[in-house]
Amino acid sequence: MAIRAEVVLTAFVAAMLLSSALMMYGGNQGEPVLEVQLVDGTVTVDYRFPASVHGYPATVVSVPLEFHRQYDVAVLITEAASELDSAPANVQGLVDHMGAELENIGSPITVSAVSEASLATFLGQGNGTLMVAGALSPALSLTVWEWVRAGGVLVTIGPGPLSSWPSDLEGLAFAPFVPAAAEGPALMMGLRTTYPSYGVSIEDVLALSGHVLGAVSQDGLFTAMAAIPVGSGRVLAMGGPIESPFMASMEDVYAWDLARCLTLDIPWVSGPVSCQRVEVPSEGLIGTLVLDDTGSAMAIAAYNLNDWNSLFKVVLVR
Amino acid sequence: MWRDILGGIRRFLAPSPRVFHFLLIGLLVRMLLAPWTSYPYDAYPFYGAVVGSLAGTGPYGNVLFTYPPLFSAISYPSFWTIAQFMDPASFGTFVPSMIDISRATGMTVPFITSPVFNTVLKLPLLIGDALVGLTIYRSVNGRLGGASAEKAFLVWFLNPLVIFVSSVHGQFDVLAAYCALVGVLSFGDRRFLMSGAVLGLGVLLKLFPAYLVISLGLVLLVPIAKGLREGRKAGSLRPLASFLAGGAMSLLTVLPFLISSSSFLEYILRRGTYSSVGGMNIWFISPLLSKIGGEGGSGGGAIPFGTALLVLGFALTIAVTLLVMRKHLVKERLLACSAAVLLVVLLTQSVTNPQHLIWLFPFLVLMSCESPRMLTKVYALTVLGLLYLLCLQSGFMFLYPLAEYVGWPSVSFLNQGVEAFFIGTGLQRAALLSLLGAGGFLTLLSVLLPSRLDYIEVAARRIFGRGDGD
Repeated sequence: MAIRAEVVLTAFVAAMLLSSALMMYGGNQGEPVLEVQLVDGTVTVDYRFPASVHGYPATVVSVPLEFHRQYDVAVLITEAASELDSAPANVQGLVDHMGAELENIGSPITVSAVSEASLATFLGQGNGTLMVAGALSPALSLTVWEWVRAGGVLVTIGPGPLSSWPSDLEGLAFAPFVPAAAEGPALMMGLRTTYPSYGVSIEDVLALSGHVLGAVSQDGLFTAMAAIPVGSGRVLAMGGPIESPFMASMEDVYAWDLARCLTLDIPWVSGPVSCQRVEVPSEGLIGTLVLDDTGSAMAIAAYNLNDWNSLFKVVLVR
Repeated sequence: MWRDILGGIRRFLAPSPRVFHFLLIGLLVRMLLAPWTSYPYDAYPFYGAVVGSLAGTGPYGNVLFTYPPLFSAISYPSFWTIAQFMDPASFGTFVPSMIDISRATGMTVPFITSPVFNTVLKLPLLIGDALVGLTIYRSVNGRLGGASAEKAFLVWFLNPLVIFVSSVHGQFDVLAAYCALVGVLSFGDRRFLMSGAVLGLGVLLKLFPAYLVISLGLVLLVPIAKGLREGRKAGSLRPLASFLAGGAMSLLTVLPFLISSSSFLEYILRRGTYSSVGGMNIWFISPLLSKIGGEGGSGGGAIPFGTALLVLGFALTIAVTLLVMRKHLVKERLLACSAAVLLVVLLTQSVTNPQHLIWLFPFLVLMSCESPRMLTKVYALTVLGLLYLLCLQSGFMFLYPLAEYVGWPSVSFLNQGVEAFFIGTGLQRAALLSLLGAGGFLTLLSVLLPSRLDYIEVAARRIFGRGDGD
C-alpha cells in the first residue's frame, strides 16, 4: 500500500505539472490584426479578430489625438483624508492591477508607486504620467499643477485630488453619480468604470474645452471619465473614489480602463472617439472601419471585451 | 494487477458497509448544496483565476486570485473541459442591484457564479472531505479497530462546519488539511519523502502547512548532531534529506509559475502578511473596537504588523516543537505536537476565519480516540464557526446563486435581508462577532491545557450533565 501511495503521489505531481504548464503556456489565442490605410481623405482600418472556442464581443476604437505622448505611470500613495479619497490599500491594489493589465495587453507602459516624499524627484525628471487618488497638501498641489502646465499628464480618481487647494481645475464639480444603462463611447469602448460614487460635471468639462469619454449618469449631467487640457499638459479626470465593490468601482475596473486608455494616448484626445463594436463568431471575424481623415494623429486599437480572452492590438498613425 | 488495484480502491472507499453508506449520503448532501450556494466575495477571485487561465494570462493575470497556485492547477483541467462545451461567459452574472449592498458591507461582490461553475469549483473540495474522512478511518482502524474508526469517520464527514465550508462556502481549506494530515501520518511512519512532498503540496495550496514543515524539519534536524557525534553521518542525514527532497518534488507542480514570473509570489506574500486582524483568535475583540472606533477592518500602513505576526508564528512553532521534544518522544506525540503547532498559528495569526478550523479538525478527531474531550472541542468549534459565518453578513449571503438562477428567493429579498442584518444591527453584530470570536479563542486555547484545567470540559459537564473526560 505504501508503494501505491507513492505512485499516486508521483502521478498527481506529473498531472499538476502538466496542468500548470497548460495554464501558463497553453492559452495563446493569436492576436487581432490591424491594417490602416490613408487614401484620399479617408482612413480605412482593416481588422481581423482570431477564432476562438466560442464567440466573443470585441471592439475597434479610433481616437484622434493632438500628439502621441506615452509615459510610464507613477501612482501616488497618500493617506486618505476623507471619504472622497481612495484608501491607500485600494491605490496599491490599482498599481498591482494596472501592472498586470498593461502586461496582459502588451503595452510598453510600466507602472510603479511613489510616495509623497519621493514625488518631487519624479516630477523633477520631466514629463510623465502621475496618477493621484487622494487629496494633496497645498505645497504638493502647487508643484503638481506647475508640472502639468509644463506638459505632464495627471490622472485623477474621485473628487479628492481636485478638491485640493490650490488647483487649476477648481471650477470642476463632482456630484453623486447615478448610473444609467451604458451607451455612447463608454459602451462602445467597453469601459468598465460605470458605477463610481461621484462623477465629473459634463458642463464644466465642456467649459474647460475638455472631452467627455466615460459613462454618463442617468440625468446626463455627469461622467465617469473626461480629458481636460491644462497648459501644455492634460488631466484625465475620473469619477471615484476607488472603493468596494469589485466589478463596479474597485481597482479592477479602473485598471482595465486606464491600461487601455493610456496605451491609446487618450489624455491627448482631440475630437470624438469612433468605435465599432462587434460580436466575433467562433470562427473569427474580418471587417473594415472607414473614417474621415482629419489630418490629426490617431491611435487605433482592436481588443476583446469579455473576460476569458486577452486580445489587444494598437496602431499609432502619424 | 488491475484486480489488485480495483480491490485496493474498493477497500479504501468502502472499508465497511456503514462507512460506505454514510459516504454516499454525505456526498449526496454536498452535491445538493454545492450548485446553489456560494460566498460571492470568495467566489469572484476563483472566477478571475479560471477566466484568466482560459485567456492565457494565468490565474494571476488579473490579480484577483492571491492564493498559492496549486488549487488553480487542480481545478483548471475541469474548467477547460467544461469551457469546450459551454461559453465561459455563462460562468457568472454581474448583478448591478447588489452594488449598494456590496458597498455597504464591503464584503461582497455584485457577481454571482453559476451553478455549473460552483459545482466544478467545489468538486475537488467534496473529494477532499471524503479523502480526509477515509484517511482518518484507516488511521484509527489500524490502532483501535473498526467501531472507533467508524465513529471518527462520521464525526468528520458529517460535521456541519466541514460540509458548510466545502459545499456552501466553497473554500479549499480541506485540501490543505488533507495534505497536512497525510504529511504528519507519513512522517510518523518514517516515510519522509512522502511526508515532505505532501506537506509541500499543502503549502502550495494554503500557506499554513509551512509551520508543520518547520516543526517536523526541526524534529529531524536535532538528532543529526547526535548522529554525527556518534559517527553515523549518512544515516543521520538521510531522513532530513528525504524530507527536503520530497518538498523539492512538490515544487515541480508549480514549476511553470516559478519560471514564468515572480510577481505572483509578491501577491501571495502580501496576503500572508495581511494587515486586518480579527476572528477566532487573540484579536477577537477587533470587530467591536473597530465599530466603536469607526475604523475599517484593514489599513495599508499596518503591513509591518502582519509581518511581525508571521515571524511570531514561526518563533512559536519552533518553541512549541522544542518543548514537546524535550518532554516526550516526538514519535509518540506527533499528532499532539502537530495540533499544538496549528493551534499556535490559529491563535496568533492576524485573521482566523471559521474555515481555518478545518486545518485542526482531523487532528482533533484522531486525538479524540485517546483523549475523548477533544470531541467536545470539535462540537463547540463547529457551532461557533457556523454561527460566526452566518453572523458575518447573515446567512442570506450564501443563497445568491439560488436567487439568481432559480428565482426563489429573489435577489432583492436577499439584498434586503443582508441590509437589515448588516446595517440594522450595527453594534450588536460587532459585539456578537467578538463574542463568538472569544468563544472560538477560548475553545482553541483549551486544547492546549491539561485535562484537569480544561474549562470547556467542565462547562460541558455542567451543561449536558456528562463529560468526555480523558
